[in-house]
Amino acid sequence: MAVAWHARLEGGPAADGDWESFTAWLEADPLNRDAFDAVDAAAVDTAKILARHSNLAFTPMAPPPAMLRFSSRAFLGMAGIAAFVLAAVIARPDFFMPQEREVISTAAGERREISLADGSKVHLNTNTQVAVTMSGRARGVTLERGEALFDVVRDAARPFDVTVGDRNVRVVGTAFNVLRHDGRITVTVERGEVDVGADGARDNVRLSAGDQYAAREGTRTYQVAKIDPAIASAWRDGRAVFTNATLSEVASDLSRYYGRPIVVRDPQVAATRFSGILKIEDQLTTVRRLEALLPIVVTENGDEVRLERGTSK
Amino acid sequence: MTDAVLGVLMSEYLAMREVLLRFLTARLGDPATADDIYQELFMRLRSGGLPADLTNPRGYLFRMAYNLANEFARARRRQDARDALWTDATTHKVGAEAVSEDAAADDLLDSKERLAAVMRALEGLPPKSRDVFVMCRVKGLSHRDIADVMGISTKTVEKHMTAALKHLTLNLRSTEGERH
Repeated sequence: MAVAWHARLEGGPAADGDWESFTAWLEADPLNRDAFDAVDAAAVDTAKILARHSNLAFTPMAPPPAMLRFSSRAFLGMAGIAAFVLAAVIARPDFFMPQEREVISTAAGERREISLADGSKVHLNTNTQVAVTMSGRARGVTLERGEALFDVVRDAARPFDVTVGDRNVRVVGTAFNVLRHDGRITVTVERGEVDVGADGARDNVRLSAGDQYAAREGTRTYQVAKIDPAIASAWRDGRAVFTNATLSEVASDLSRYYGRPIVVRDPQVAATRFSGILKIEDQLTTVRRLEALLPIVVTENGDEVRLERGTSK
Repeated sequence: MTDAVLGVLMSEYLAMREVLLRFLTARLGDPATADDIYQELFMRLRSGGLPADLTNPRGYLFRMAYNLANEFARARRRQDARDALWTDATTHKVGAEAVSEDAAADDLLDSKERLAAVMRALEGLPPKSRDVFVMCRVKGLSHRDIADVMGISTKTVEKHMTAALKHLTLNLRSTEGERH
């Protein structure tokens, strides 16, 4: 089977379902992985020798250039990358039964999952504080700072309210993300519907799955845009996602995860746009990934990490 | 790369996290390595070279993950081989100067035994199987392309290829070193 898989996957585009079947085959027996590696080693070494000593084999007609498969690029220190572990980020499931008003918080770089007495779940991202109030008639969470992802159990008799700054979000049963950072409030709905209202405002805004509401605290204005909810909740899997964000926004957002701020002084660098996905690891590892993607350099300077103009890669 | 293509790939990349991690863990045997390769995959995605028209983003990401995992597994094999050589060498008290990556990559192949074994294995290959192997693995043709060039069916190409791989693996496995 190892031989058949290698022949099929290296021989052209995979068919529908091939990747899933290949995964299942590998999972069926750990020895299958060794068998596949043995085939790969034999094939790669033989191909290398044949390429180096072209007189060893009959050389068929040269293929038209369009048919050439891309050659795998130089292997860049991948073995070293494997050694990294996600040490800074700790996701710890927790059981939590609040009586009255309970305050729960996370430190920089920490993540935490809380189960509420009604079965609802709240995931807290880095540097976050919430206050939970549960009673027979109402369920309430105040997001004092940071970011939280709510997965609310449906209970029509007991509405679930999230208060964040001067906005509040009312839900029946749904999953959504709330972020309070740098004077901005963002609410993103993954499933179901929520109503968002500003303090003192008469009307609420109804959001459904895929809607993202963004507002500045202290103002009544807001915007609603469509977004892939997976982007807003990627932090739960230890990833920060940016779509067309300026580097000053990226620096500010990433700073939430660490004790040391990330700063951009050069206005031209600060205005550089970035779209990408970064794994949250130790601060320098994470920030240095940007060096590979943008013409910047990362320098450490005492109590801050700086993004500065660098050469284009 | 256009923003639109990147946007599609980013969403697909996030949506496929579980299946890709599952695949990479199965392929490489360890979830932490799989998670690192999953991030590396995104870095490769961003470093450009994407087709302008991406009809099958899911297949594209699986293919990239497969290629990266193979690269990783090969580097790990080279590292193991180098460690084995190093252990042998230390009995002769070789100095501490580090061997460069490129030199290490060829250590295995340039070892006389491995080279001789590959030569022997090649001699034992039936000519048709050897031609198919060269066209596919050295020239980079797909089975479909080879079928056209040789005027045979893709099924027959696959048969020759399977025979070649079986023969090579059987004859080379023992000289790869006892490191499992």
